[in-house]
Amino acid sequence: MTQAADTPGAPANKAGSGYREITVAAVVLGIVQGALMTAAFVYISLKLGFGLAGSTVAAILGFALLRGVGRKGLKIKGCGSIVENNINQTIASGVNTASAGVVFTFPALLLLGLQYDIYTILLAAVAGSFMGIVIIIPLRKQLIEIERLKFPSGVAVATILKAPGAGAKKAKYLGIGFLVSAGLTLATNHHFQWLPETLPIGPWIKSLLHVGNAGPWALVLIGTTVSLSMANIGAGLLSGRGGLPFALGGVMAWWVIGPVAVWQGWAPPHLAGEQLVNSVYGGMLRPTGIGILIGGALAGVVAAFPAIKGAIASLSAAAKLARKGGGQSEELSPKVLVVGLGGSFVALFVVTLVGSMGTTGHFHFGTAIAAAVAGALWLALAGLIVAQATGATDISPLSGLALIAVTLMLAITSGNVVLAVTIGIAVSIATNQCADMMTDLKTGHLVGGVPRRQQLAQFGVAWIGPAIAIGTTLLLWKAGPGGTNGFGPESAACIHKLPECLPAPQAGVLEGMIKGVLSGHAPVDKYVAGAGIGAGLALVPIGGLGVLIGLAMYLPFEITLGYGIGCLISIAIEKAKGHHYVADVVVPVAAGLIVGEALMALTLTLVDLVGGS
Amino acid sequence: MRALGMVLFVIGVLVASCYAARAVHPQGTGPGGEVTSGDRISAWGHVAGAPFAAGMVLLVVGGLLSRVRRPGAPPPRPIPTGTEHEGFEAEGVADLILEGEPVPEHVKSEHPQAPPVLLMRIAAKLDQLPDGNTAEHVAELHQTLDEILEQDVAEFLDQREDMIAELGLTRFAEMIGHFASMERNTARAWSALTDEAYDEVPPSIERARSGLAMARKTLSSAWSFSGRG
Repeated sequence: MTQAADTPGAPANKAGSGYREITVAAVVLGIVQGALMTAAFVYISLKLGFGLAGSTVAAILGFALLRGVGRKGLKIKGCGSIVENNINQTIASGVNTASAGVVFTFPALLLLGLQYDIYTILLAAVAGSFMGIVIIIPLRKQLIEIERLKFPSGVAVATILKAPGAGAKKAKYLGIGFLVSAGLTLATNHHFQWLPETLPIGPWIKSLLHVGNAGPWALVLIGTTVSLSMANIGAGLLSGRGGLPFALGGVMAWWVIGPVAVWQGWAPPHLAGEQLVNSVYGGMLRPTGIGILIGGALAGVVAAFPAIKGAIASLSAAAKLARKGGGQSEELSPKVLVVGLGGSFVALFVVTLVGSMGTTGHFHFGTAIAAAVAGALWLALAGLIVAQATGATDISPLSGLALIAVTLMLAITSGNVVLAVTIGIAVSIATNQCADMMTDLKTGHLVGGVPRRQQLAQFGVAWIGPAIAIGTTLLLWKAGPGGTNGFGPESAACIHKLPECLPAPQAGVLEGMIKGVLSGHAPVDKYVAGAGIGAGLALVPIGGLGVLIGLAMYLPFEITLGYGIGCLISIAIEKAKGHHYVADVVVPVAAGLIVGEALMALTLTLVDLVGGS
Repeated sequence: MRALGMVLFVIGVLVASCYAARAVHPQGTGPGGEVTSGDRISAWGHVAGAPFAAGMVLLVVGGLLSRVRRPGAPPPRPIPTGTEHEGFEAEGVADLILEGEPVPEHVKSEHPQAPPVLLMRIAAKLDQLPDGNTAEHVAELHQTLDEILEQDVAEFLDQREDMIAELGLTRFAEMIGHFASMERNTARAWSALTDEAYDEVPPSIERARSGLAMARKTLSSAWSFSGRG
């Protein structure tokens, strides 16, 4: 394989020059790690209600196996190079990323006890997976090169990959961050509870000042807590000034909008304490935040259109230039974008056409076309939202986006729940793919990987994750008595409170959302009004402002506040010590914080599962 | 004007957000008295529509005012069609930088953080790197590549907003694409050096130089030193 740089006069980069990047070892190891993590993470998510990130685990195992076993044990020259390990972690996380999308949506269909066609589900999942990667092609330039989003997890993985050459000093800082974060994760774990998971700063002040449990001040004080998640603070440290609008969005939501709502008597008057906080958050702030996210992303597309158009043109120019020079571009050609989007759309149309039959036994072409077009457009927009949100904060608003997909489909298909959830599966997988691919490309940018190779690697394995995740979910479902009800609160194991109970809490949330939408409780008014605000926020020349403010309102304040503290510390350090200090000290410490929490959380989860708790 | 715009914008965001979040309790008009989406929007519009609209007006007016350029600030420059420039001194400096000629010391000291000067600094570092015998220069290469990746790139990107204002988004996107190619290939040289894949280092540096040359060409042809500190 040859590859020319994308600038005139640049030398062709011969892949056969001996620098290992896409290799059989990296691909096989990535697929094996990804497959194992997918199956394991589906089980963990059904059991505990949260997923885990796979990139850091894959990068560290890649070191041990490619560099340790391959280079030193098997004497393969150059095995385990930084860019080869980058391909390994790209593939592993690309396979594994489907687990989160599937486990949030597909089990809801099983719990609702509806008839479905498994091949349609698989087709939707695979189409979503490919579409998620395809829409990243022009967004890579926009979000990584032009907007310069931080992608904190991408930076953390790059820091791990670069560790062998980074020097003892940086390794020490990485280690310190790792130990602090791992220690805190252990100390706040529910088994030990040596420290609380959040610092209840507001409630402390509340009891000090003897403020009651009702009214605006109670909301401000009870809501003001700081998460002790070091990964969250680490993400803030890496984001610095760019993350401040997100933190300010949280402050606006919890210190202005929420209290005003209570003061004006818009919250149910009988509520107090935590119930008041949950009511304001769930009924007002969160749905408005989802609306702002959507409006902000739509307006962002319009504002960035010249740059995105330019990015696609430059991809074309690079491909032409490379062809002239007899090599390959560093970027995938826009033709891949067109073919990929076209293919995925056809697959989605087949899904909606089959799904449109519902219980009538007849195809409904009009409904199918409308659902496929709306599904594809929403999928692309949701991909952009999640890529921007992950890029700025490391947090993906998956459940909110899936909910919008399901609401939209229920409206278009007049309440066809199976089709709505099927499209929800595609959207969830696609948005996770977007976030993962973009994070991996950021890592690649920092270690000198070739984007085209990373994208091709992820393309090649995009079908594997959905197949394994859906297969594992079905296996666990069919493990129940009579081949059904293997998980969920109504399963035999959960009713009898047996250790093997899998409550599937995320699917339960979506099930509840679907029932809410069907009974007219979806807060459509807040989505619409929020979208107007999100669009207006694009008027100010701060990139992604609508998405950041919307995300801040969508998330609990403890997360936003912790992240904001990380941003402020980073800004203060940069002002006092300069860029060099940030690169030498803050980045490795923050990377250590992110990796430490991820690995300790994985370890504790596995211990939990083995212990049967 | 910009400050006033920002104040109006913030007030508008807060007012609109408060009323967007207003809880409503609609009466159902659907079959069997079910609440429909239309019912929700209509009920919300009835109790919160007017103040929400007022907030949105403030938001939009404030947002537009915040985009008004400062008096005396140079207008965005059109994309040049060729290499011809109006011949005043400051743009002559841009040409000198592009052509690699020595730049008068007073320009460097007057514009130490000007993007073309920062790019010139990176170019000088890349040019000084040895093209062969990589294995004999590992420490020197590592140090220089580290400096570029950790300090020079960050300082250049600090000027992002100024560059967008000066070049316009399309031109900036073109320039930063070439710059990113330099950055990625410099990182690749660093990684190859760490992995002792010494054959990969010189071509990566060469590609980084090419990317940087294109970025400098795009930037220098549109950058004005006049009126900048």
